[in-house]
Amino acid sequence: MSSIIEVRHLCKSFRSGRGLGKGSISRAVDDVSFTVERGTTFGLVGESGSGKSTTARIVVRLLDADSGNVLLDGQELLGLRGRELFRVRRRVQMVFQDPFASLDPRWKVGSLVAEGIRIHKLRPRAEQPDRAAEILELCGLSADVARQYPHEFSGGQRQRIGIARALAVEPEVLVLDEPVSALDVSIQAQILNLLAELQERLSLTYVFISHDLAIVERFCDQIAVMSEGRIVERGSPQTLYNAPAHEYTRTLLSAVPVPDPRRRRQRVPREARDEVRP
Amino acid sequence: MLVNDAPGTVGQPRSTAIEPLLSIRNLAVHIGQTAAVSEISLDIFRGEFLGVVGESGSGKSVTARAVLGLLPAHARVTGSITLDGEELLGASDQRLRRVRGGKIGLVFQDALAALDPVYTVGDQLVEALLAHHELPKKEARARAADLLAEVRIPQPVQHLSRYPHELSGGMRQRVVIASALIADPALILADEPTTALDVTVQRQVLDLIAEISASRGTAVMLITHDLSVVAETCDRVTVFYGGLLVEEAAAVTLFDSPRHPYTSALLRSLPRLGTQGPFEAIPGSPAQIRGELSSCPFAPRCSFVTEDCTTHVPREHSDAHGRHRCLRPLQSGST
Repeated sequence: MSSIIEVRHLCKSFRSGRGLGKGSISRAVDDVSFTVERGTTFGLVGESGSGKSTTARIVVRLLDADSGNVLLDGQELLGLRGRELFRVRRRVQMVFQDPFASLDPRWKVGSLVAEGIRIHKLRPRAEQPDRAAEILELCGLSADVARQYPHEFSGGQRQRIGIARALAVEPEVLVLDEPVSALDVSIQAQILNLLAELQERLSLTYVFISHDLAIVERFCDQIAVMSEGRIVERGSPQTLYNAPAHEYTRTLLSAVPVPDPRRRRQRVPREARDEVRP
Repeated sequence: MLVNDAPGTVGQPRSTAIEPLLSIRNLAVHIGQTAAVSEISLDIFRGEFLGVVGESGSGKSVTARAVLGLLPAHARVTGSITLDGEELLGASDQRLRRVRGGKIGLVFQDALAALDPVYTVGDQLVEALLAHHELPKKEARARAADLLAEVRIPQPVQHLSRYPHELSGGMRQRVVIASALIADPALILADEPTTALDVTVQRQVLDLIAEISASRGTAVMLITHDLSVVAETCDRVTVFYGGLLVEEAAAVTLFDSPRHPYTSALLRSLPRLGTQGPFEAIPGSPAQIRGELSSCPFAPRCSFVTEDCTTHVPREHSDAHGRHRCLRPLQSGST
């Protein structure tokens, strides 16, 4: 296997706090390095403020880093401008968390998906609507939805539209920023299965950002656990789950609620409450 | 046509002599043309930890709002909601204001929205304390500090003079819980109290709510989309779908052998640590009810669907196991 993305010593600070001049500097991303193998899923997991989303945004060039490197097939992305940046952006696309916020409500679904095809001139104008319909079908939607507006769809369907929009430009890498966190549990599984299927069919590489350890463990080939801007531990899901080396990973794992009422009863003594029950 | 019996006793048998704290009977809520809630009956007993689980559009939050009298003015509400024997449906605004924050303490998802950004934590707690108790102001402030200590906020006196934005999400939710306790409520109604929080903080807040429920004997109605959160906390669980209460059972029973196909499918779709392979999705989209409910709302997504499921709303069955609304319930012991 060969690596498609290589992140080296990435750093990013934000000035935070109160008014002018008095701000403090917070290190959102602090010397982060990782490698993503082609065709695999790399999970970045952590709590809010861990720096996982900032890292993702730097990789897709929505944010500039203070220092470090992001290489795509060996080519440095940071510092790219104009035409070169435009070409790279086609190859690395992002899917956002909130499918209600990421789709322009005034655009029909067909236009939303065709926008990238048009901008990157991937098909002659006359073929663009058909291509958009084809991609929508790939994402499990019927071609008819092209004529509808985003508000006519449920959260799960909107996320399918968001994925179609990202795939329209035929990218090699998808950066998925909490792609199922805003969805109902029964729908989360649908979207994750769709993503797994698309990865297989289109040989995609995923960078998967999530706070949900149970999902990351099942969905990713490699996982990096982030805390306070740093990667504190990385490894295969099996290693991380069975033998977490870092204290923070253990804390995180033990905090995940377990869908089994019997397990809880052993942990929290209930005697006090039983006394007051009728 | 909906037929409804009084909810059966679930979990441990209760004698009929024990009055429920909160009793919902045949609650139906129409908002515009939509039947948001259809014929829901539900009891909560003193000191009990009840989970209400459902996806978006299931009617769980509408039911909570009906209890609190917080539905929009154009909503049509029928049925009965009694708290300690007192009817809440149709009660005056003044009366309902006494109930909210009085006998029922409220904890909502968004702690930042629940707290006023321009007042300190102490000012907000003192104002609410004075609204419910006749106290000298100094004593109210001391009580506010006690409440912060009870919700495990370190240095409670110092935290009285903090503003909400100076606190972390978990600390803010603790302040909201403290303010819910001000009138020593018999029931805490918590609507997705930990959904906006990180897992480690969620764990602490859930433990705190369980602890308070235990030490004060307060009943808790925990509304959530997350079955894992329910498994961690609740004695009894009700599952809502499409505005119907589709299943109710003791927590252990519900997780061991769900009767309704929706409950079963939802349990299987949960990502669990330590499992491999593809995720077990429920096909289709969450129910969107337009007009009156005329079939089982889960029928379009159910793998056991029969023709009868699409022609009328299943009536409620109750037995020793619990309650469910399904024409072809799963057998006990199968998931």
